[in-house]
Amino acid sequence: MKKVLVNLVNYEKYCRIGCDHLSAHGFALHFNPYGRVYQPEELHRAVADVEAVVADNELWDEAAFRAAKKLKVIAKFGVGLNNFDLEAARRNGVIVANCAGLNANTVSEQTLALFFAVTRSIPRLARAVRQGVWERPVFTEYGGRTAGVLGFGAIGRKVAEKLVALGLRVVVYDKFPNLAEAGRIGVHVAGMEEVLAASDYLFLHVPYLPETHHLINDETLLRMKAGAYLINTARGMVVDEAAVSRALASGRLSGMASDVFETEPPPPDLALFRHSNYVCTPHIAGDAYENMEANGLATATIITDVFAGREPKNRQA
Amino acid sequence: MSNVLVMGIDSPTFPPEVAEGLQRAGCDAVRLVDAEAGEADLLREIAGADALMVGRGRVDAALLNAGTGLKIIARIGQGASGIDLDAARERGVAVTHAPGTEDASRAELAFGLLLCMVREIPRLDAVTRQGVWMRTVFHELPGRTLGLIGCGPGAREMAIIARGFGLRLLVCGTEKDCLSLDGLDRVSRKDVLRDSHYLSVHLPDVPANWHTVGREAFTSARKGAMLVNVSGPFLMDFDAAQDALASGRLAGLACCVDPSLVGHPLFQHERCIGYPYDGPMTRESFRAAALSAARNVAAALTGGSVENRLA
Repeated sequence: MKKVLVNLVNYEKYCRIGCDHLSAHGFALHFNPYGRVYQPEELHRAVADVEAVVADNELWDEAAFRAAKKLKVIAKFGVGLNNFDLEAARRNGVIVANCAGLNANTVSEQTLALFFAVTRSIPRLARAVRQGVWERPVFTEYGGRTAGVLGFGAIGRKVAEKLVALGLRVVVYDKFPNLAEAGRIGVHVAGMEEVLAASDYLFLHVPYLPETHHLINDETLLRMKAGAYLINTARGMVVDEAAVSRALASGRLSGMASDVFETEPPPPDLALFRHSNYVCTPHIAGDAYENMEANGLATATIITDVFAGREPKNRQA
Repeated sequence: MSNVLVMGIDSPTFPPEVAEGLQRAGCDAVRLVDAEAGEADLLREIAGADALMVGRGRVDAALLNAGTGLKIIARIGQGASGIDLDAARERGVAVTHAPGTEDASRAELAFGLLLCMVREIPRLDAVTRQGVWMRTVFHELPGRTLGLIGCGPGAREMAIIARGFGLRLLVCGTEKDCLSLDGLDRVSRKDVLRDSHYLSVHLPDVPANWHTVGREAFTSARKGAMLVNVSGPFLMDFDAAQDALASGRLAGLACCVDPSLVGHPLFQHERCIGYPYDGPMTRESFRAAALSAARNVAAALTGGSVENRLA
């Protein structure tokens, strides 16, 4: 029986269809016992005799691939591949595929939830009501204001659609924007500088790449509209957190919300935590029942396709 | 020359066009009293006033007794809020409000609270800051059902946003100007309660509607439903809501509160989000409501006809 190591915690609980699919195709499932992401040494021990892996955010570098001597395929649960050395995968003859596109809706909902939370101070005011404190700020309506979306892939498009439904004017930047989608949704395509300068609310939906490392830094923050809000549900390292903390302190930014951190879990003394106009969630945007089931089936199908000699969907290496 | 007293607004001055309009209508003595002013100050100030414009705060029989010259109370906002309508009626004082001016901002808030409730944002924000990397699972909105209780213009604004998120919509209500949107099912209140994963209240905030969402509604609601109410705190029965949350009948609640409700034990429940709201909460809705109120004050003081009377 071929062995599949499932690194994603809760796969057994929330991805029944995926589990059943693998079992029906003769795979024996082994689950991550730690309740968290594997550390490198733990991973290297666990992968020694497995043929396939359902990956989470554990590190897949040369050493990990070397440790996995029988490994044929890795199905990445979710989209982001920043924990993968894809060259090392190729060198070691391992196929890597992800679940591109599936999580777009759930991530866009989390993005909008964080947007509402930070622009209407929902966590802070809920806490005040709980503590018996009456505080009542005045806000600005969304209608007619400008939202900027950096990165117009599957998630950026879903976010843009929802912002349009809220009556916002939406400007988007992408290296290679899909103009048909821009026209269908009703957004303006612009240059990066124009999006930075025009946006009352700036949304980050770029992948993490060397070129997007600290895309939002002291300098880009100065080129943003004064008093703007920043929402990051992409990857933590796209943002220089220290620079954002300074911008929140100076009032240059009115608020920031994020589902992701430069280091996850974040250190308890993270400077951003000192700001009451900062809202965060623990990298949870993808964790919807519907998305777990969809990713569960997609990862299982990647694995069974490879063993049946078929090219898997969304192959990345 | 007429004296206009203004109480319970957030900004130290009116938008310029409101002040100018009142002045042109002959109201040069416009005085603002602080939103948190004491009762003695209010009683003294109201004595010489011909008209009262109210953002938020209580207008009770005692205040009306002191305001012997009052012809009109114009609420800067939707609904009667803290105004004693019976007391005003007995004294022949007209009361008006500004319907429609808060529909957009209320819908934005209602939808924002709905999403934050589904995704548990306040709780996750708090625990993440405390160094806990918590996991939880939630449902996506497409294919789930949002039931609107009330079918006026406020419900319409909510429906437009909700449709952009792929929610199925059900609506019930008896108002004449029932919202019309393609693909919207108008059904009985019973059906809305039974079939909706999420419920949102969009009724006029008038005493006749208070406690509309009470024990009967929670008993009839789908088990595990979540409720949003930003149309007026007293449209919902707080004690009944507390019991429904405690029993698990209600899986989440997000609701507006006025100063009298802050610190209510209901808000200790981890699945309850309270939000302070007792009058226009955006600059845009405040401006529109102040213009509407000023129009009525000018009309009342010059013998014209006032609109949107509550009493």
